[in-house]
Amino acid sequence: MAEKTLYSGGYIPKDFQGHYEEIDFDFGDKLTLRLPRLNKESSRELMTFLKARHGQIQNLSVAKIIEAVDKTIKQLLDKEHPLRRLAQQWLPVITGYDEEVIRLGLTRYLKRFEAHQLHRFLSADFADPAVLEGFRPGVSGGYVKAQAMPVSCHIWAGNVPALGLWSFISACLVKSSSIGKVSAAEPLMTGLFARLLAENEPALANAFAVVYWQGGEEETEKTIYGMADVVAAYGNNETVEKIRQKVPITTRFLPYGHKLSLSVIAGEALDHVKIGDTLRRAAKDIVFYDQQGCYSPQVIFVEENDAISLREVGSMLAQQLARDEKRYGRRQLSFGEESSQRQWIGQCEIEMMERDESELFVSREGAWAVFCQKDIGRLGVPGTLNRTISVVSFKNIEELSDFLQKMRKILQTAGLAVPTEKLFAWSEFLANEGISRICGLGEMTLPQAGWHHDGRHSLMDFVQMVDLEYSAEQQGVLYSTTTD
Amino acid sequence: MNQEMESIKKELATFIVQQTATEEEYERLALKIFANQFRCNQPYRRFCQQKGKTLRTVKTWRDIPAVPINAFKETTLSCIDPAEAGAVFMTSGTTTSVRGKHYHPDTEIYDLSMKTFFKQMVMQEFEHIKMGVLFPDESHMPNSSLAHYLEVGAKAFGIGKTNFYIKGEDIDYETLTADLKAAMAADEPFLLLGATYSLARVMDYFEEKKEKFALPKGSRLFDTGGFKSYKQQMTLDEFYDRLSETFGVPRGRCINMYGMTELSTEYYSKSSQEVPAAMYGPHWMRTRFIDPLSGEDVPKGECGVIVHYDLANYNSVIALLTEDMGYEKEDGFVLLGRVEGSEAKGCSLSLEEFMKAVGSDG
Repeated sequence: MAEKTLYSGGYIPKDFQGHYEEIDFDFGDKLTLRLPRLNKESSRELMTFLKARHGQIQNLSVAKIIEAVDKTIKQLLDKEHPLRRLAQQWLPVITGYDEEVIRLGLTRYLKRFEAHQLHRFLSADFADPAVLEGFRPGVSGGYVKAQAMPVSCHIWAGNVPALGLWSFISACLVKSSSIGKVSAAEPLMTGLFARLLAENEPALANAFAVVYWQGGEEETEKTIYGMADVVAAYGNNETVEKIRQKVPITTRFLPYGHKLSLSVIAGEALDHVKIGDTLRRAAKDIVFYDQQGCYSPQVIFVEENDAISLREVGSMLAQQLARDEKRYGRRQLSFGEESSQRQWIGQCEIEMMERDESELFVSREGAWAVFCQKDIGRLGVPGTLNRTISVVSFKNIEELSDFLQKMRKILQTAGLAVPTEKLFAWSEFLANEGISRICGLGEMTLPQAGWHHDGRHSLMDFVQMVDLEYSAEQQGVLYSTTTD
Repeated sequence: MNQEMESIKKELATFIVQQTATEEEYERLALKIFANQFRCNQPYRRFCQQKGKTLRTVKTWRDIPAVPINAFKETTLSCIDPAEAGAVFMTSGTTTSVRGKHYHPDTEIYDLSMKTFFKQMVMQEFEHIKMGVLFPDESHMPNSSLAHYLEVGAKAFGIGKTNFYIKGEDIDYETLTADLKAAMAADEPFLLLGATYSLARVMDYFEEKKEKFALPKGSRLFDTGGFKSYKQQMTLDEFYDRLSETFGVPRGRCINMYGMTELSTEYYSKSSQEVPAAMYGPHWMRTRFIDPLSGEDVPKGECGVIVHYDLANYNSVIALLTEDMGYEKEDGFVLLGRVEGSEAKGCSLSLEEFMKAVGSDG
């Protein structure tokens, strides 16, 4: 048997002299990932250090930061680069996702952070990104500056590989130093990126830390949340709520909790020429990362039409999922996940005991399941992730309202396959119901650069806008040495 | 009840009272009951057909499709017209407001099943015993299968008047203490039966009063239901240690019962010397442990989702898919409680929230 590999991950600022512990994460008999682990004392030291060194990143221009991030991304896109190879080798072991899904997913995702895309991030949040460098003339007189929050804290989830990069790079772009806690479910990628970035731009080497601490360690968490200027928390509502209780009211809190996403397929996308392609894209959203992302669909709404019945759509989607399963196998589920799926299937079966028009398609090994539900009013738990989905028919757009209103607080992405003529009507409707991101079917798991995650400003949340009002400027004139 | 049902009921009664049953005998009766349920129970027939299971394809009792227990909440599982049911037991409905309904034409089979196996597992050498029950009586909980069960037990095996100590939210400690003392004075064995959490409350009460009992030889203690919501969660070892200490009954004579509204038969442990103890069912019951997705039996001794086959469920469905997990041990099985549901790792939504499993050392 091959020997178990030990890899030291995470990132500690280059000149940090304090003491910290380490923790090992074991992934089967193949990999041990060693990470810096904070306790009350080390977290205080590290936070103090980051705050003290914030000037270094603060003095760097955005252009320099973009250059460094871009260089790092290009290295990670290079399939021969040792760290890219390392990521590709170990991410499947760590996360259980199919190798091919990781390879494709990682490339697609990393490309979101190339230089030209980073400019898109900036313009999405700032009309004039130069406000990040200093005071710029404001539209209504006076001047305005985007002042970085000195230290941002990120609590990342591990549902999707490299997920942490989004907020890590966002904070970095606006010159905020970061302390990030990786999830035990994917503790590799952000640390690896941080390490490479620090090598590429020495001025960034003391601007962040990627570490671990045990969730719930009261003293450590209080220290970190108390000293941080922003806390961004990713996870299920329960986790996020627990964190919120520990964040002082004076600290900005960015909760990214539970979300529900959905797809809509119009009749026009179901004619016999287009349907195959439509369902291939619908399946892609389900298959990529086994619906573990907040942007992954759990229900597909299908417009009733003369060409094809709901049952046929469900059956064809099931066939597509079966084909995809052969190419991109689903990750191994835990007993708990399997049981959840069994119970969800049980609920579908119970529903069918009462009604003839419902239909369930399940793979023999339970690798996917499609539940066709004609009556939108009876839609219960739409799915239980891991390639389980409800396909529900509707006649008019308004029929979706009741369901969407019930789910309003957790809605996020809608993947659409609708014709141009209806695109804006759908978008207006969905926006009104609480959807914050609308994309093409098949693209749900890949938000575009500059995405307003959960409808928020990715970058803006890590800065404080400072207004230098006209009155100060005016009065300055009074006291100026050059005054007449 | 139609003729077929009458004939099944008669055959079942004979089956229950016979000492044991061969696999062939079990199979024959199981398939006969299944065939009747398939024919008379439309939702169940639809359920089977959707799984491609029909009278032709179901060849052994293991092929009989197991219905998820939640179905009792959403649909009517009964061969007879539910309006004609002589008894309806309802689930307590802890997680949702909808309560599952289990229809029984009458309680003859239920009672026979209860008495036959209770005699063997709880009464053992005794024909009758002085009893006390820590549960409300049936008149206060008319749809509780447990209240009915305890009432049947008291009537069939109790000596004199059996007291039910729970009135509403209160426990009648006075009568309980008097009964315990009377048993000690008369040196007559006593059987105290109750819900686990009520016994826990009683132990707290006596501890506060600094009162302990030494029940006469032959006495036994019976608990059922687990902890659910009682404030003081303790390990099984702590529970039985304290139980044994409070009442002076060795742990070997503490018996745990596992029952469900959706079943007509109960499982028992033989002792609580070692916990978790193996649970045993009678010869008209079978238990399987399956892989949740494939539905295949897990290898012997490995953890699986529990499927019950209870022939005494002749009116509803004999095969039940639970949300409990367990594993085979000796000739019985260990119950580990509710399956711990999956929790989404990140921000994607997993809508279900399951009760935590009581143990996970499977």
